[in-house]
Amino acid sequence: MDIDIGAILQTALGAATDAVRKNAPQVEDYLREIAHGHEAAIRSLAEALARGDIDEATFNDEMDDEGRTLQAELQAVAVVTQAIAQRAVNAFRDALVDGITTAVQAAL
Amino acid sequence: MLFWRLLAAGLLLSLLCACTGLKLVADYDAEAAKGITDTSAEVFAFYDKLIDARAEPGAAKLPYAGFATEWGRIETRIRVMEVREAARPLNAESQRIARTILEFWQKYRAAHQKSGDYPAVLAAVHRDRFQRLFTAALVAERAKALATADADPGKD
Repeated sequence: MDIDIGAILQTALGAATDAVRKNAPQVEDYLREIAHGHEAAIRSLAEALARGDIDEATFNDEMDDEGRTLQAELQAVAVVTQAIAQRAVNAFRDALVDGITTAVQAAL
Repeated sequence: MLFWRLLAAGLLLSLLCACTGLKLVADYDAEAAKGITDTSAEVFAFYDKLIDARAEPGAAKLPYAGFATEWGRIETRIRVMEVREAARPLNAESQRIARTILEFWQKYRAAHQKSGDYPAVLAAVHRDRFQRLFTAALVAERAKALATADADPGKD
């Protein structure tokens, strides 16, 4: 029996890499969206403060809420990255099992 | 020699098959995603009504009483959303997002009740903030479908 473990590992690594490559751009896009939303909110609040529509205490309170909003948005980013990692690791494992199964069946 | 190599390969295969796949996030839940979009629609409609009422000519203040029923009804929906997220394993991030939405809702409701008004500039900022938070909740839910190759969030 001749099992080419190097080729099997290479295939498994390729499966994991594909899973990351296909889905990673979503993280970048969403991070850009978060930054844009955060910037727009801060600008609105700063303009409202400058016009006298809100006082300084309200502005500071709103900035605190902005910080908490950003934290919540980053929780979503964490889910996306964990989901991608889960998919990549499982793709690696599945490809490894498939490769070894095929090699063992061929040897029997 | 062949026997031992086959045995080793068989053992390795058994070991790999015995290991369940890695699980870092909860399974995708189409009902949860629908709950998020439905609740967000109610929140946006509420804020639009608030902003429109403020823009009416001669509108001085927006008394809490005129909006109390909707504040309460939507808070109930957000609470249900938070309970649903809390009940799912491996779901701490989504639970935290839902908790933040609920806390902001309660904070802005209490402020409206206390002051008897809702400044137009803040209503617009808060509506956009809720939009970002509901987007985060939905992004997190849909990401769970990425974790498994066969899930398709586009079906709901």
